[in-house]
Amino acid sequence: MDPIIQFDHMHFAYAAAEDRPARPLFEDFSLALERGGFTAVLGHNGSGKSTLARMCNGMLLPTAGAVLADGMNTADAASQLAIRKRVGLVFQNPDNQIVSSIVEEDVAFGPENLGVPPQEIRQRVDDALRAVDMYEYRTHSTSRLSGGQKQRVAIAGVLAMHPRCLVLDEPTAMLDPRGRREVLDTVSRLNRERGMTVVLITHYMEEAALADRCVVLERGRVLLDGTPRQVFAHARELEATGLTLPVPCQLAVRLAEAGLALDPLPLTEAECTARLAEILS
Amino acid sequence: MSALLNDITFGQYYPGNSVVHRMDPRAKVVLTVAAIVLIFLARVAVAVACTVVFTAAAVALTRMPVKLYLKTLKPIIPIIILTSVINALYVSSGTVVVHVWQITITTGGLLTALYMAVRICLLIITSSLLTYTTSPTQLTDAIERLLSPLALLRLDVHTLAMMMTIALRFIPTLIEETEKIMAAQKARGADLDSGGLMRRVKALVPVLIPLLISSFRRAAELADAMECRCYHGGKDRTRMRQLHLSARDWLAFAVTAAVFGAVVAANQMASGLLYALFTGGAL
Ligand SMILES: Nc1ncnc2c1ncn2[C@@H]1O[C@H](COP(=O)(O)OP(=O)(O)OP(=O)(O)O)[C@@H](O)[C@H]1O
Ligand SMILES: [Mg+2]
Repeated sequence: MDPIIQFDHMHFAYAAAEDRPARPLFEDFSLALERGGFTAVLGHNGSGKSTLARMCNGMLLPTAGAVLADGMNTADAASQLAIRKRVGLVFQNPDNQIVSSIVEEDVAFGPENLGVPPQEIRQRVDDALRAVDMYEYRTHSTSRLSGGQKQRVAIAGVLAMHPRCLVLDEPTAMLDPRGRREVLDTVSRLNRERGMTVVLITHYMEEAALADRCVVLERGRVLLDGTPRQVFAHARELEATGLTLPVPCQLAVRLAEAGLALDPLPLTEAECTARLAEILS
Repeated sequence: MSALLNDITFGQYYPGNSVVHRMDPRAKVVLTVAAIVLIFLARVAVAVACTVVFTAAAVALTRMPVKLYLKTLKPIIPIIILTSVINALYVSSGTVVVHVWQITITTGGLLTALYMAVRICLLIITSSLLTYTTSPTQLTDAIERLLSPLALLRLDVHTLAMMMTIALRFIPTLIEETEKIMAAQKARGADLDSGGLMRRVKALVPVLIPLLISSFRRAAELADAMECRCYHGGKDRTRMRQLHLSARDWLAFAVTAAVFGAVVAANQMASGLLYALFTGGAL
């Protein structure tokens, strides 16, 4: 395995505040994310997902152990810019990560900071906007876009830096179902067609079903790790951590309890109906 | 789109592809300043007419509905009326038109009032023309470059420009948020629109505090996002849009210079004419 991001026996604790002591969040945490993969990181509120995302590009540094991004140690100040360029972070609230009033000017922000020559910035901006299907909106005002469109612009803004890995921290949490669909389609397409490494942080299990690997965090530990099918089979553990199984999986669990095991476990409604139709005929 | 947001046209940018849109933003900023000086310089009928034609031509070149420009004038109608009335009442020259009790209105007063009204309108239209056709980024870019000599005085022009860009970007967001908070407070029974001044100001506190808190949160998140996108100040930064003065910018400079000349000449000639009249009369 050729990991693009590697947490190596990493420890982390937020500094103590008045109302709480410094409680370690991660202790001896190890995890490797493969290049070109699509990994979903699941976990209930406070399980440490956002903290993990910020450690991927050195926004937060481990208190002990190491985090390697594309082979570089995130604690190494000299490679800070190189790491941020290679590991792009997309946040939850699209409104708070758009810098400029015009779509294409916002997408240009990253490459401008990197000192890319003007001609090439133009090229990168057009490419990035096409990749997220927002090219027709390039001269539009960012404030008048829908949530899903704003989030896709934010993704384009990161893509224009030519990253090797895209880390998205609950990018759909503030979107309506349609915006959610748009963002997820975009992300899966980037992974499939451009071979972009994607780390999707979410607490929706439906979204995790799109990934090829699924890591479930609980209070700074890896609870489950495997393909979505393998992970979703642990219905009890998942529900104990406060995650809700997708409806087709819930149905499969009920059917299994009633004596009818669906094998393999259906992840989507289409899969589920197909399996049931097969059994019934 | 929120109601409040729709009312605000001044300072908005309307993407387009007209000659004016494609002009160098630096040229537009300089020319806008020149036009404003010009508008105040014009003292006589011919000169004022020159500035009106000049502004109208510029508006026509933006290929945007005239309605948009008129809309910006609407909120300042009271100011126009007020200044016109004051001018009409206080300036007395030329022949008397109306004389009732203490009030005297003269042709000179009426003319001054008219010029003043025209000037205010032109001023607003000219400045909207700049913001309508120039994106906030281009505008701040232009200002950054025009002010760059000030870097010699140890003024951080880049940071100033970045602050402006972000402020402009967040105006719509914050307006939208204010409306949301106001709606939420109203839904809880807050009365924001009635009572005396003190009461209304007090009623705004529960709107402003959440707005302030959320702005701080936004600022922190935006700073993180900017850092993740490799922002590290103005050092080694390039720009997607290279600014260069093209033929149309030089042409605009030339036309403005010509109008400038015309206005100054018209003013001079008029005062010369008056002088001749006066001295002729004395002889
Ligand atoms: N800046 C901070 N300072 C101190 N403690 C923090 C800070 N940010 C998060 N924490 C704490 O660290 C823990 C993990 O937070 P984190 O944001 O990583 O969780 P999360 O999985 O992203 O949760 P959510 O689903 O709510 O986004 C939480 O208990 C939280 O209270
Ligand atoms: Mg989080």
